[in-house]
Amino acid sequence: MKKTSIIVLVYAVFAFAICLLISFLMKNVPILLPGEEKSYVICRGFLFFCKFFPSLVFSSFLIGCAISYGKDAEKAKIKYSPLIMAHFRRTMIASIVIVLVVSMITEVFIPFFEQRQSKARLKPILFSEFMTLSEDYFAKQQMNLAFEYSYNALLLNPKDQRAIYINDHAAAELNSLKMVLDRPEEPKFVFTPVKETSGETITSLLRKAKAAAEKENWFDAHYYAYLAVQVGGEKDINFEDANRLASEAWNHLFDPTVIKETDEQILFRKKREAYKTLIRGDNIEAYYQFLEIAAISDVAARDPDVSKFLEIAKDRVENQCFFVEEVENLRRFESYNNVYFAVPHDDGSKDVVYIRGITPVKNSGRTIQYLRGFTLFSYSKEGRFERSIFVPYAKMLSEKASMFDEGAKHYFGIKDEYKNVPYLMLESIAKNDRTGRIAPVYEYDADYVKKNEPFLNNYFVLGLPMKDFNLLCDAMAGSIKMNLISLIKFLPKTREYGYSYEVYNSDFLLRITYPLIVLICCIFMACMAWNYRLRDSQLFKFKWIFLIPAITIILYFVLECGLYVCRILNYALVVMLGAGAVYVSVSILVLIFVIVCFDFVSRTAD
Amino acid sequence: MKRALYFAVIYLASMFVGTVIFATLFMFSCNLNMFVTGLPVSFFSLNYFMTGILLSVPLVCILIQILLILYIIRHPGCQIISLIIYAVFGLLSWLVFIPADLKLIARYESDVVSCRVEAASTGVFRKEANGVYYYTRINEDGSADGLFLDTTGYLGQEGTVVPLFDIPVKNESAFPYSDILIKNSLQPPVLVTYPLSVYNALLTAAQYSSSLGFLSWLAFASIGLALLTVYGIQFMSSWKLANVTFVICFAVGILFINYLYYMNILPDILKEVAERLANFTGLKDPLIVLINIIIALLCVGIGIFMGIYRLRSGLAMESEE
Repeated sequence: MKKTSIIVLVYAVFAFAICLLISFLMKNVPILLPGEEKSYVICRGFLFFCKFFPSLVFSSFLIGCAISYGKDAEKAKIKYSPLIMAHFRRTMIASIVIVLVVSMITEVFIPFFEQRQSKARLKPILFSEFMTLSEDYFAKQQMNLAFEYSYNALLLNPKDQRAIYINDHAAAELNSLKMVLDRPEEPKFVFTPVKETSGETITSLLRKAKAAAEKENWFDAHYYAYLAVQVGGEKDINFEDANRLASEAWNHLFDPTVIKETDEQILFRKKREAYKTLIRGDNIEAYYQFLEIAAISDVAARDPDVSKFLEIAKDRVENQCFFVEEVENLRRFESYNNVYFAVPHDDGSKDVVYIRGITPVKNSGRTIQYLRGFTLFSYSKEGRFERSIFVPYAKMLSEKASMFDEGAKHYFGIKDEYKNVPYLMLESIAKNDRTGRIAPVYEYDADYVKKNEPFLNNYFVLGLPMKDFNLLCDAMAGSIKMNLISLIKFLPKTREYGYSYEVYNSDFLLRITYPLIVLICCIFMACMAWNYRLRDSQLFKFKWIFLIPAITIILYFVLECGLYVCRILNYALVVMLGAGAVYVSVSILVLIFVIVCFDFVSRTAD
Repeated sequence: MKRALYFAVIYLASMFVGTVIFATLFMFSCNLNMFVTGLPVSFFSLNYFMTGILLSVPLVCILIQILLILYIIRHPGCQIISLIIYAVFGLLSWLVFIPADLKLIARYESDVVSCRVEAASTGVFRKEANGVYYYTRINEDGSADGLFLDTTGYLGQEGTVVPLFDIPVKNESAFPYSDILIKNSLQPPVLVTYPLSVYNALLTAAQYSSSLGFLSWLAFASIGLALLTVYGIQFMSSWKLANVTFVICFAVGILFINYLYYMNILPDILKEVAERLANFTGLKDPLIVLINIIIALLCVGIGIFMGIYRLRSGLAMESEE
């Protein structure tokens, strides 16, 4: 086997060099960004090599075995002779090594190089799209967007003069003008503070409120009393106390006679207004109002009420929407593009979801996913359109399903067995500018609105487990390229989410049986090598080396045809047997393997 | 005699098994062409199976001829009997089996139905060149409701999501399949389609020649003669594996040359020669007959010369031992 291994290795190295050479000599390199040609060509060479690899190995293995089996072949006078058994052992070990290498190449290297190539091909398209957009916005004097797109273009191609020009000019203008984003506006919402009262009871909150009232800090007194009212029920013994203290504090806040220091009159009035907005539940407006107060003067910024309630307002805002600034420059980090799936509900209705791009961001141990171009279309059981939701960017968090009450669970189709579900914030606001809000766009079918209350919230929950969402993102690579473990998990759910079970299952069959097919081919090659071995007395002639490429081509063709036949048979098996196809397919291949093995060990010298 | 009988059994058994395998594959692929994911389909249909048998007989004849040579290379004893049996079955193939099969094809050709349906199923994303279709409802008249996700424009500036209402379902882009999903997944590589197109072209030429009469068929069957004489190539080298490679390469070469001729993919000068020869002899396709005869003579020459040489060197080696 030593001789065979050397032949296989030398031939593989030689073939690799030839593949690289062919790739360098081939002229049809697609349009690429400057400086990427060389790596693309090398990548292409690698891919050539990987595609031919099984036939390269089989042909050199065949030749190697045919040479080495010639020695002492006459000793194999009977079936299962010691010589043949020894050959079989060595051949089997070599075959297993070949199977491992070939499987690794098909499952790891080919997808890796193909992905690299497609990324390289995509870059110029992306670059020209970024440039067109930045040129457009530059001409329209929308410098913030011109800056954003030219920045993204420069990340792809840092030496592009035009991109540098737009980026520099847009940055300079932005600095001087401090222009803000120009975006569409507003939804309405009601928010109940949940987080702020966590771990608190009505008694503890009332105690805090009373302490603040003693110090005549009426903001805190009202705030804690108000929270106490929110937390407690009417039957609570402290409920009345909390209610009374809240109204007493409110009266103090809005009684003009209480104001003692006239210097702070303006600040107090503004604080009061902002606080009123916060208590009303309009957290976003309250956030902007406190932000404006803090911007008036250093004294205002340092005011403990202002800083405290600004922080509270910001926390509340972050629970119901996200800042536009978070999604700036996110596109280049997108892990998935064009993700689409259907979410079926128990009543037969369906939500069809389409997301243009997904960027996962790790934030204090939690993964946040930003979804670009989130579109959801809902269809009735009969397949009629009911409503659609569109938002340019949505922020997605994995939330515990138990967090939702029965009504929400029923509405979004969250089942009890789900652990975590994708929770989507649909609204985004600018950090420092109240006009920079982006709200979801809802469209409803007229008939649907007549019968149902339209849903206009600024959040949405997808009615599927979070792990399935991640699986669907993986499935976008396609049944051939997606991770094999993900494919196994995804198989039973394909129909549910709008994918073809037959396509995914037959590709799964091919991928799972491929190593066994390679193993059968190796043993079959060994059989052929024994049949057409070199005679004991014969010396290997140099000119026979030129046979190897011819055998490689013949085997490449035979292998491609064989694999195609396997694909057709897999389809037939999947359509006829469904999930049982894998057992039948593996059983048949194992049987063929056993037959081929017996065929080999029963060879004799005749 | 025993060997002759063994040969005959092998030949007929392989003929039967080969035809059944190819016919089954043909039947499966026809049914796959009609398959729409999510809709019921049967993978067995007698009509396709019979058509498959008719179409695969010539292919199986050629393949078995080559495989027989490989068998003889592996078991070189009794060269004369092997040659006689080989020649008998070769002649039987080209003068009886294939012409009879071609006549049957011509008779039942009109029965070969189109392997495609115009249908779609709901609830499946179908990725096409410029976007993705998703049907939610298909009416009896074939119109559908659903969605079209325009995936052009990587940044999503150009593409939009278009709701579809009562649009006619079309699946032309899936041609020759009925479902684009099956096409995307099952479209054979060029390495599979090209040999099939070569075979198809040769089969069409064979049918045409056969329809013109026996003499015309004999002209076409010169390819069979050339293929039969590949037998002589097995003596080219002293290494069996090299001979196997030569035999396969020669057979493929002969088929390819004939394909080029019948598809008229020839240099201008050869086209001119072909025309002049046809005018001069008044026969159909005299050029390819000539080429095939030259190849046959070459193979026979190699066979006789190298055969004697190998026999002598073999005897010499034996006497040395």
